[in-house]
Amino acid sequence: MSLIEVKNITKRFGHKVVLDNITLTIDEGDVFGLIGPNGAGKSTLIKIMTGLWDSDGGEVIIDGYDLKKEPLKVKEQIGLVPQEIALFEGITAYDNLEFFGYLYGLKGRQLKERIDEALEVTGLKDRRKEKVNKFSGGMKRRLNIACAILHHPRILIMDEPTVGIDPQSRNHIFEFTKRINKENNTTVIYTSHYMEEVEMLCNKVFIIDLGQEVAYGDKKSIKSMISNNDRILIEAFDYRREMIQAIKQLPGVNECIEEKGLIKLLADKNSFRLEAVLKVIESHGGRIKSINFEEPSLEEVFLALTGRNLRD
Amino acid sequence: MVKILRLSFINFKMSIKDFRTIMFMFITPLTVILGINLMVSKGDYTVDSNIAFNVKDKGTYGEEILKEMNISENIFYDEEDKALELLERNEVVAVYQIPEDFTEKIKNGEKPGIQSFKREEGNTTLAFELNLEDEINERIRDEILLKNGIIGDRSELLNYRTRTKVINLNENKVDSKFALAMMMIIYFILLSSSSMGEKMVGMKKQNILSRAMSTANAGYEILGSLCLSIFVLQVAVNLAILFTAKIIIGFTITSFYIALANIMLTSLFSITFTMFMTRVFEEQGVVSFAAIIFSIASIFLSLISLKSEVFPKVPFVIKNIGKITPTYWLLDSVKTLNLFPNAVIVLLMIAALFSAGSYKLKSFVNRV
Ligand SMILES: Nc1ncnc2c1ncn2[C@@H]1O[C@H](COP(=O)(O)OP(=O)(O)O)[C@@H](O)[C@H]1O
Ligand SMILES: [Mg+2]
Repeated sequence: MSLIEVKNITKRFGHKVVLDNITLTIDEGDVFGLIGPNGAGKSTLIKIMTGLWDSDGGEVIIDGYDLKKEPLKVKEQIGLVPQEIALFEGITAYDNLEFFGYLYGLKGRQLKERIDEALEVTGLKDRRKEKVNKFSGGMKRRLNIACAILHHPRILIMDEPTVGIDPQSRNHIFEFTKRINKENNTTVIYTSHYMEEVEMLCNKVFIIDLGQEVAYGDKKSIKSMISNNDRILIEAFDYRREMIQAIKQLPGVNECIEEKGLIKLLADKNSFRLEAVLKVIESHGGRIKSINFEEPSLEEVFLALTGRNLRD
Repeated sequence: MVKILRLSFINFKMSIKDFRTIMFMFITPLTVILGINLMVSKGDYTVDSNIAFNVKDKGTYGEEILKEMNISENIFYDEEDKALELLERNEVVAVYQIPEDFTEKIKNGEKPGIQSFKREEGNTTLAFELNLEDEINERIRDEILLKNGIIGDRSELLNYRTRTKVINLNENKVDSKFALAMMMIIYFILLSSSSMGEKMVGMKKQNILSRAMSTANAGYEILGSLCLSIFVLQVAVNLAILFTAKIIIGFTITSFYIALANIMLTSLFSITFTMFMTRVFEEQGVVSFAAIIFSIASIFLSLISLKSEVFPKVPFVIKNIGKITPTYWLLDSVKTLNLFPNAVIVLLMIAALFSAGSYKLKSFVNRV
């Protein structure tokens, strides 16, 4: 059974359908990317999954608990980093953490330790005694995250955590996300309208547009949706000329060209075998420096599937 | 319940971290109490010394009444010119002339007229005039009682008088400065609905409430703990104000329990009222404005109801409309030292407001 099951979730505002029959599952340990342009319905789905909003149909089951029937059992396991900064502006970073720590049921020495840890991993240790209204946007974003991880949630949900921040904070958030997933096996749900981020962090992806599923699955399978061809770049030297012709004869190879010492292959995913190519190169006296598979980016996937660019 | 207490504790801790707000909560009412106290005591003094009398009375009642009212200065006997001279020189604000038939009329059970001369219209002498009228009425009543044989002789009258005095004493047992301090405290607690409402809407706008809702706490626990922490803070700060004012001004806290009960009731009311306002209105500004208007209006109307005898010309409806405000019952409770039925009435008002104004945190947070 999956850790998170979202079944047929629908949400309307008036006549406008904001989420249309969304179904997905997330396994423990996944870094799950929810991507789509602004207004696609990402935040709406997150708010429904965390019980902040009610859906107009469908159900959310987390760790076997129905969100509608046992909301607190579900909420215990979740740390939510909301898209909008949710902090007391007039008090220090430390005091904010203390407040939310209490809400997560922490106290005493454990609370202190968790606050220190959260400050550490978000890189805010030096600024803990500063008031939040003195913080830059990036620091607020990081504190916004710190406030959601105090109770070591099994599931960390981050709604556009990198909107409008400096590259340094952004990198910090990436590193943190990878680390918490690797070290604590925390399941992460990460929403963004930056494809590169999701591409880099996530193993599973749900692409949403206008409240509807565009594509859903692990990264590889999504990319293969738009093309049956692999693009392979081989850097080789010392080979004899006729090698290119020999590669073209191999099963599954649709195209092979030589360009500035780079051999570019367009090959069919199903019938192509890389070993065969390597053998041909060897038999023609060639030596290989590097081999690269060039995948279409998620950006290209989105374009191919919706006919639109992600960002205007 | 333990959870609510724990959450209240952290809410309380958060609110006292904002030291300036606490000082403001403490200093403002205290300053106003001290200031008003100063003004009122000065006022008493001027009224007493700035009035002159010209007694033309052929009997003795005129003189006796003045004596009873502890007036000994600026009394002239049939010397209208001298009295009016004082008025002209601006040494007094009013001259009252007690007529020749003053005693006679009272003995006949009639009300005598008293002529007054003033430089300008004003109400600085209002309190005195009301007192004078009381005295005269009392005399007339005595005469009527005697004449109609309801009371046999003057010694019995004396008994009757003494008894009234005793009741009066009881009523006056409440130190007026204490009552004044309590009135201002009640007023400022009501007024604080304004800043409380602002804080609530602010917490919503800063997404604090929605983040709180994503934690494993029920809506009522979050909201309840917030209210409880405000309640504790308000009671503590206002008791501190009361005791500080007591030390500086030197009044007696006639009944600590009455003071405590009324502060608690006011705080409860103002919290419930705030919830109600944040339910009805969306905007921070509107909530606080409405709260301010309500506080001022309710204290004003209650004062009219409580002192309706001072405002003989105010229509009946306005005189009594104050009774639908909690302030009337709170102030009345301080004045009469009665907790019953006042506390019950205020609690009922709170209950009514609560059922009209309470809401699910979820709907408050999600309303746009
Ligand atoms: N409270 C609301 N009332 C009406 N429409 C809303 C509300 N919240 C969001 N929407 C609409 O729902 C759609 C999805 O919004 P959202 O989930 O915030 O998108 P995303 O997070 O993907 O940018 C948008 O078209 C937005 O206008
Ligand atoms: Mg969003």
